[in-house]
Amino acid sequence: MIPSLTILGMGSVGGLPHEAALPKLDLSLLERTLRRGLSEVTRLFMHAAQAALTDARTDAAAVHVIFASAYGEIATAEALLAEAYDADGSSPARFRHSVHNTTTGLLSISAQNHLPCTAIAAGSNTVAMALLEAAAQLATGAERVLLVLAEERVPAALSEDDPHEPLAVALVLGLTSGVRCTRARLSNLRQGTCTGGLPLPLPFHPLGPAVGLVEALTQHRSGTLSVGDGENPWCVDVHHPEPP
Amino acid sequence: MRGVERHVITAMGVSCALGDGGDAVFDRLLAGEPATATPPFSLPFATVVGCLPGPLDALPTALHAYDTRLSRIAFRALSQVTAAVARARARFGRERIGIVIGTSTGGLDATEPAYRHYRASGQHLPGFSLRRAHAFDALGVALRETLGLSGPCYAVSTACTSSAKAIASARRLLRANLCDAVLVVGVDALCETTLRGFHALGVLSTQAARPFSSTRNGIHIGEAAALMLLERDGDGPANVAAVGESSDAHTMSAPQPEGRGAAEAIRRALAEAGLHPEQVDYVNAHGTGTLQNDLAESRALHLVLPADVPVSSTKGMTGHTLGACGTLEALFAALAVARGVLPPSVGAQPLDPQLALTVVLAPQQRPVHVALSNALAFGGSNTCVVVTAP
Repeated sequence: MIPSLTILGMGSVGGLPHEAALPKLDLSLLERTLRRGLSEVTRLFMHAAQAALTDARTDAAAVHVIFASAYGEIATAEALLAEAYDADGSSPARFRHSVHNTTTGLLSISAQNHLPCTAIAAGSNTVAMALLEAAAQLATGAERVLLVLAEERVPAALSEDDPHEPLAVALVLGLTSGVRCTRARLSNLRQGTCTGGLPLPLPFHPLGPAVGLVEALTQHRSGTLSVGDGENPWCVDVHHPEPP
Repeated sequence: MRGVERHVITAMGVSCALGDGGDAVFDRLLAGEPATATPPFSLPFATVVGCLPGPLDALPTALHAYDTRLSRIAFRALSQVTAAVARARARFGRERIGIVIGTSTGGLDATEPAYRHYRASGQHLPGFSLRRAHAFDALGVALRETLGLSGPCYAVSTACTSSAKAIASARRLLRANLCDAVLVVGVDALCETTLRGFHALGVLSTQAARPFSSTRNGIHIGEAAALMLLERDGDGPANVAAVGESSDAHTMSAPQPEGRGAAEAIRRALAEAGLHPEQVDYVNAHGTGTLQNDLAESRALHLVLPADVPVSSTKGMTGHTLGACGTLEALFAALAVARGVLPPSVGAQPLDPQLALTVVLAPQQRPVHVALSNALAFGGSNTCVVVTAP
């Protein structure tokens, strides 16, 4: 049985229609010297993470960190391909920042966080597998997990099918037992389809379920949310605390 | 307080520059002849690579969209574990078996020609799908389809610790009772982007890497698939008793010079396994062949372990297999335990005296009850896998 997760804090940005501009992103989680040349997905990650940590009143050095993204640093990958194509070269700085764990590496450096960090991907099941990894970490000893789901625009040269809206959703998660102050609770993460559940605003976006979760949380709606699709769909129950 | 939870490696699959099959590859490690070749594509600089020998078979027609060099390598090693996976599926049910892939490149090898096609023609390469070829997790879909599994399936991508962290995730899925068996797939394929990137960092060698040597020459890149089926019980050559993880919090690409982050991963690994430093019989080091790695990793080992623990790096033989090395070298540690012989650190002579390590210079017969396998990565990601005798 997958343990229930308590949402202690939440932050989000983006997920709007393609043309809408992103707000100015808050990079205060990073030291100034680390803010140069950051990719869109890294900036989205930092903005949402800062908001979630503030919301949960949690120290950035005291969380296990999970970054979940279908394509991660995809624009940096394209930039490296372009450098090879156009100039037969490769920039060392760009190469260093091309790895899927660039976001968690930068956060750990800036926050002096020595705890384990990981970076995962699972296509259209990314939200479901991220919640599963978070639950497994919490069930095996992690006290607090910062889960950041983020996706940047996919460069046109790499795909015509994946022009994802840039967005990030960050959650500070704990186990339900022993926590008093909660925003909401997620329970019964399971395989299966969900009909008539909470709405999914971005049905074709790999992180669409995360936007659905944000809407459910901000509108205080409880119900079942579909958090993955494809051949093996997953869903999770969202519960809000009773009003005082 | 939880007790120590050990997981049995009930099956393994290995394909790398040294060949196919765990035992056959381990025999090649003992023989000590590095397998280097020229890269299978042209580059504007000289280097050698650890390239899989022979042609790589295409994936079945139904999986054509997933057919990349990466998936071909993984499928080549897959045949070594399919019987064990089928047995586990019959015992536990298809939904109780997870797949965790550890890869740094994903299907980048297929994205490179697709990108060149687009730039040259302005058209997307017919048949190329970013989702099914490039994406880190795409291989998982193809594996699930082939193996008839429906449990959790995702990819961990943390550069050179990817597949050691995949083992850590697999253990958590078992410990939290979210799965009854997990197939860990460490895999990376040679591609131009990574070779160009390491060349730009100035660390690429023109010969086989020679970790721990005073005349070291940098790294050479390899490719591999290393598969490990983990279960709570059963028969196998060795157990995985822990994976220690830490973050350096230092820089994106250089290790913390005193080795403090790597030392912390080793300490956490031993604590999770319920072992003392004196119980460690062998360390398969990350040992990439750069001065920075040799210095930081040797200091990390000295911070935690007795100075006489035998250490070797197998990267001079296989090449640095990047995202695959965490699982590949954990399996080498498991084979050292199962066979009671330590693989040599080929190319380590003349030894760098400032490291003061007890480097294994020739195959060494001895009982091995506890072996460690280190992996260190960009982003300051450190891991230490503990492998123990059954």
